Amino acid sequence: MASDLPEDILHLIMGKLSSMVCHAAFRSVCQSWRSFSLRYYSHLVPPPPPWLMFPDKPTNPNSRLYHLYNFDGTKRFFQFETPEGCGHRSYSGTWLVFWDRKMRRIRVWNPLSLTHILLPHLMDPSKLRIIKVVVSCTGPLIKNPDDVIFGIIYNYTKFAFTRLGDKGWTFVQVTDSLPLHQTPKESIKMRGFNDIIFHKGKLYVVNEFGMVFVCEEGIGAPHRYTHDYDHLRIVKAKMFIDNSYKMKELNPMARFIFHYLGEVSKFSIRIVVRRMAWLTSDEFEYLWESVNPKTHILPTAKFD
Amino acid sequence: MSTKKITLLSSDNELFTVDEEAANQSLTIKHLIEDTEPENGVPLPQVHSKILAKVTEYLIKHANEPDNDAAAKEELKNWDDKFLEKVNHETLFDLILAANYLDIKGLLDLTCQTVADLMNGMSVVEVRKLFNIVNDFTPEDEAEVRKRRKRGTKTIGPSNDQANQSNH
Repeated sequence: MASDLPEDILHLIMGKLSSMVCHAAFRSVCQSWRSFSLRYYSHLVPPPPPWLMFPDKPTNPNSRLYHLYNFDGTKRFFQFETPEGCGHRSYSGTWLVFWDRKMRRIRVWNPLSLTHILLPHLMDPSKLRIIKVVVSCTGPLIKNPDDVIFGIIYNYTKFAFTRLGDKGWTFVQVTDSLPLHQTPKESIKMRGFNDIIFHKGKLYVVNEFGMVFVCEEGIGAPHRYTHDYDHLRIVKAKMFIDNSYKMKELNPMARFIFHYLGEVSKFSIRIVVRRMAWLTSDEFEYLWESVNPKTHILPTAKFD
Repeated sequence: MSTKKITLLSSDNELFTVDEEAANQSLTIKHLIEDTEPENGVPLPQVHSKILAKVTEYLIKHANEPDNDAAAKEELKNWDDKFLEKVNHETLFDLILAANYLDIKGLLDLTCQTVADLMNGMSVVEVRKLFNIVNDFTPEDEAEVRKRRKRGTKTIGPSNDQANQSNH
């Protein structure tokens, strides 16, 4: 009976599975389901919710991973042996980003497909300060290596990306990163980029002023950088939206401002602003804004 | 307002009568009526009366779907939840196949969602049992997956570096 289900019904059921755990179980049922899942996974499955990572002890290489939104309610921990000698951990989709101490390079690892990717050398590791690394493919499988892009913001003001298989990085120059109304004196306060995100095949970064830049050049069209001098390749990013004046109006006392970008749907991203006023440092105010070329909604909400 | 009645004939020759509006939710039935104009009921040789009874129950309830009435929508949703509550797994899969054959989108969505929800939190063994599927992975297949998992290596990256040396 059930094993005779036609493929289009399997399609429907698979598209409705809510967690990675379900998909893993689905895939392990039998040969035909496995090949079916491998074939359609990337079309059917929405980007999975992020993982939360708990290191056991600093000396223990085993890390526990916790699926943040495990819809089946079991709130399970998954234990994985992380790559040897890796420090600095963060995630992007189902990918985990490490600083590989031994190789002195960035290592991206997927605990589901067990894929390791070692990113090219970026700069003198002793001077490198990684803010965030993002991976363009959120699912654990890589279909087309040309589609896999790694974006990075580092050393506060630097922004670069590399395609899977590239030998070097492409550096992104952000023009007009200082708002017009800011005097050079005020710009000293600027600490550069806060967050980076992939959205609809483009890279978006937000700086501390709340200015969002978009980089599309060189991302869409695969171009292999096979020589070392390509390391010096530079592309430009355009201003996408400028929120800096809003920030100034909203709270002149705001001292520490952090912006986060989040993908709300396939069509819009959202900036979350966390501000701490100098005098009332325990007060957090959140401002949600949907950044969408078509609609600009600006509801504000206070959170505990 | 008088509505035309449609008679449906199950595989074991049982008759079910529903309003035309209700029956038209099934595109298969709709096309059968348009094309053949059957006099003694629409023959549905692939659907047993036990399943067709459930299907007609769904069709009658969903005949007049509320458009903008939030309360009515809520009520209908609750009804949907209850509709499949006491159904056993075998009937559930038969309902999926019937909804697929009769081309009733709402019912197909509902039944598939129920199966997906059932799978939530199930182990592989339980899923196999649910779907009545025999494990056809050979011990060699499983050993291969486990071996790879243990080594945890599958490195992609620039080819000219020591990437492969770090995890031999």
